[in-house]
Amino acid sequence: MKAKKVSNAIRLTTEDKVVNGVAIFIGLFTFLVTVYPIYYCLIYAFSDGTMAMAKQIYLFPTSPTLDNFRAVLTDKLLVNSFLISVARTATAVVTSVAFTALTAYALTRKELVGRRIYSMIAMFTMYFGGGVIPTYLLYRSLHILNTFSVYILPGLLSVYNMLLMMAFFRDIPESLVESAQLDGANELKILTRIILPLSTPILATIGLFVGVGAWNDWYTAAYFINDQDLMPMSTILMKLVSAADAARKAREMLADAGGGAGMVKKGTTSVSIQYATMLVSIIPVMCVYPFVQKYFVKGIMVGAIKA
Amino acid sequence: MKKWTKLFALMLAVVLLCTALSACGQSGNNTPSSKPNSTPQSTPESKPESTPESTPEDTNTVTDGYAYEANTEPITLTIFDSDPDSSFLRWGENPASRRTTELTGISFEAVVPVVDDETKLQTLIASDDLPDIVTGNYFDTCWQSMISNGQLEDMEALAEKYTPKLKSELVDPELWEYCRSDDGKIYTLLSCFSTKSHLQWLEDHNFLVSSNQPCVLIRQDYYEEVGSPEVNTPDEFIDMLLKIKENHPDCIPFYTDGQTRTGPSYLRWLFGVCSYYVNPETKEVSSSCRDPKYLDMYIWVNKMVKAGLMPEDNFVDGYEEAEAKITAGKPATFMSVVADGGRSPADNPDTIYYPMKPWNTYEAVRSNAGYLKWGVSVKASDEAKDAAMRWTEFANTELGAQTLVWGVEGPADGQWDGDFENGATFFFEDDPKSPNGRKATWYSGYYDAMMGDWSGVCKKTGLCCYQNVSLTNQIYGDMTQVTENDMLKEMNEWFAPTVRYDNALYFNLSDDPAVVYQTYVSLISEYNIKWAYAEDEAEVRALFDEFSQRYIDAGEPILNQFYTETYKAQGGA
Repeated sequence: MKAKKVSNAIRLTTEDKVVNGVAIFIGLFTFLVTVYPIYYCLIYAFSDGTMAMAKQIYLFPTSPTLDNFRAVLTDKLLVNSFLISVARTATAVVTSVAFTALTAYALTRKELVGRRIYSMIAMFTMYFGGGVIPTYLLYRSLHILNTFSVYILPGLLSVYNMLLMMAFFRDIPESLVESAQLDGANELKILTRIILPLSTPILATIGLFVGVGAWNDWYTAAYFINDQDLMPMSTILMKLVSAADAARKAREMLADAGGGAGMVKKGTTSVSIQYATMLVSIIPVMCVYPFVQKYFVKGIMVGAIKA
Repeated sequence: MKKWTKLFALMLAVVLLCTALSACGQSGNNTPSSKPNSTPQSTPESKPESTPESTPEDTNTVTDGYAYEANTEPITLTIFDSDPDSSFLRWGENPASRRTTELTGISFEAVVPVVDDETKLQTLIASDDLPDIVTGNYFDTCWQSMISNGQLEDMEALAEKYTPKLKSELVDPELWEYCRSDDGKIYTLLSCFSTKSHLQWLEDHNFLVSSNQPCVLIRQDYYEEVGSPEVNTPDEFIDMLLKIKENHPDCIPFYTDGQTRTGPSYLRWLFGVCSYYVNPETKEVSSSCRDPKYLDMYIWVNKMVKAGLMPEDNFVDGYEEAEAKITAGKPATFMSVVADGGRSPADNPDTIYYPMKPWNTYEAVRSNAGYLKWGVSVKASDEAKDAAMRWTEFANTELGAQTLVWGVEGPADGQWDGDFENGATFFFEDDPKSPNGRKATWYSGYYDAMMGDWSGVCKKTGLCCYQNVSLTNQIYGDMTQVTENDMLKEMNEWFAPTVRYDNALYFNLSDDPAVVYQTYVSLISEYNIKWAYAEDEAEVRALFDEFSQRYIDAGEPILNQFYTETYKAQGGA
């Protein structure tokens, strides 16, 4: 006699099935609309630029080629800009997190005279900015225009990040600090030996905020840097798009150059190179993100509840 | 743990110290200003690599007594160029720029915007931090700010001081007068300005029509299928398109290259509607919509739309969609410029798009009054002002045109050998109607290479990259001067009789006229679609009346008065 198979699966009601179906549909839809643009970049970047334009690709590359990546990776300016992006992001993460931690810790200490005034001044800058021209004048008088410092010094302290960090520091039991003081530890020791080791989630979160911000920031170089060798990749990418726009406008205005007899143009186009550059520029962030995204979520929660 | 903390603190200190110190470094030339180079730019990479027959000195160019010859001290000028991909960013990377530096001592450092707007220039203006030379589009609104702020030099005074021959010999007096401001000074010079003598030269050489002449291009395979009919009127064009549509129902019978989203654009030329309308009796100048032919044009557009010959692609597509569709070969005919003649559709590489002969309604009143301005900043050092004028002088000589546009001279019976660095690209032929009695012509091989990959070849040679912000006199340096092309010859036969030039029809708007103009542009944008998709001709007319009244209410008389007065002041007939 055969033993009856017993199924451990939970029997789903019709309602459950409908809800699951809707959830799966929404999940798939969200997945599609977020992933497809990146996929489109990918297939366009691997296609012959002109043929991709002519054939309207959707799912697969057409006339597959590595020419677009070759154009990006052999362009000295683009390679240099990638290195600048890496350098400024790494430097910004280290310096900004350190400065923010120092400031946030100081402002959480009740012993600091005038901390309310400091906080108010800092908060003021969150709501009121000078705009491009006063900023330009300030940087000029600081002699940081057209130098690498313009990426680092103005971004040393973000008030928003500082508030997040202060909220986290306030959660650390004061008794820990008091006991360290009883043992003779000074403020720097307390910060480096007790507070910071207990604050790795917020340090990682703010490091991520700063890193992503620095990697994506094209604006600073656009207005405060003239030297092409100091341009980060995001700015070069923006310039590629703008140059295509400018060329288009010039064509509409002047329409003075272009085609020749009996030719079928083939090869890279400004659009295909843009997509290849985009891919190259997002790869580092995509590699790092999975490892730090849990901190990102935590950081958002800290900001939502405490700040 | 202690060790790691110390290491971290040390690393942080080093990073911050380096960052802070970098602000004091040499690269921090935040104020874009010129700097005399301490050593000549004579690195192996920057040496002009000329063959014996190609050295500029060997040509029989008349260059006696020019200021650029007298002073070749190395100097680097800073230049603002509104093009994010400016060729000045690559100064020294191509033979043309290297030869220029060798001949004049002048190099450039470019300041360019990253995004295609005026914010960067406005920042430089507001902070009084302009580079030595400022260049930009004629219509950029920043120019008036720079002039009223006193940030630009009087170029006439600079020419008299530093480069007398620029004023007395090289640049046509017509241009100086055209560029003169109300206060009597000349703050900017214009490139691509066609003087009367230049237009005469073009006529004499059968080159009045250039590659930018608007036209209808037709797929030759489709055209031959319907018997290559002669099209003399807009209605005959409709008849032909209906036949093509029968054969190819999936094609776009007529396509405006993404240009008719907000207005008629090139379509105006097909009906002889100019950018402005000069009333032949009263001589009052008004917007083009006051031309009686303007309404005829939209009645025709409406007829085309109703017959399914101008699908909605014409009114929604942008540049990229248009490029994609034309490259794919979707349109049977499309509106563009003659330079697009010869493109093959991807679906049939054995055929080409070729311009159609102009219809009986085609007429073009053109204004070649320049489109790029450049001026010298008052904050530039004396050396920089001197060098900026020497650069302008050099670029307007025959040697300048050769260095910046024509390339390396070769024998009349020679040919281009494919060498972008040192290969001869042009030859001189005797021509009594040209300055110095000779005319430059590119070798056909080089011209074909240019047409095949214009920007690629320009980047390699540097030719045609810099003349827009340096050449004022179009006889030297005009690309038509060095072009020998069968298609352009044919286009001149077809289109030249339909073209008339009127440089007075060029207006730089500000204040109230600018506000009215913007309203006009918005109204055209709104009614463009309404006219196209109206039920019938009667509705088009009714809508036009409605538009007309709204335009009058928006202040049309103010704009007309401005146009008329300016036109007269600019010597309009």
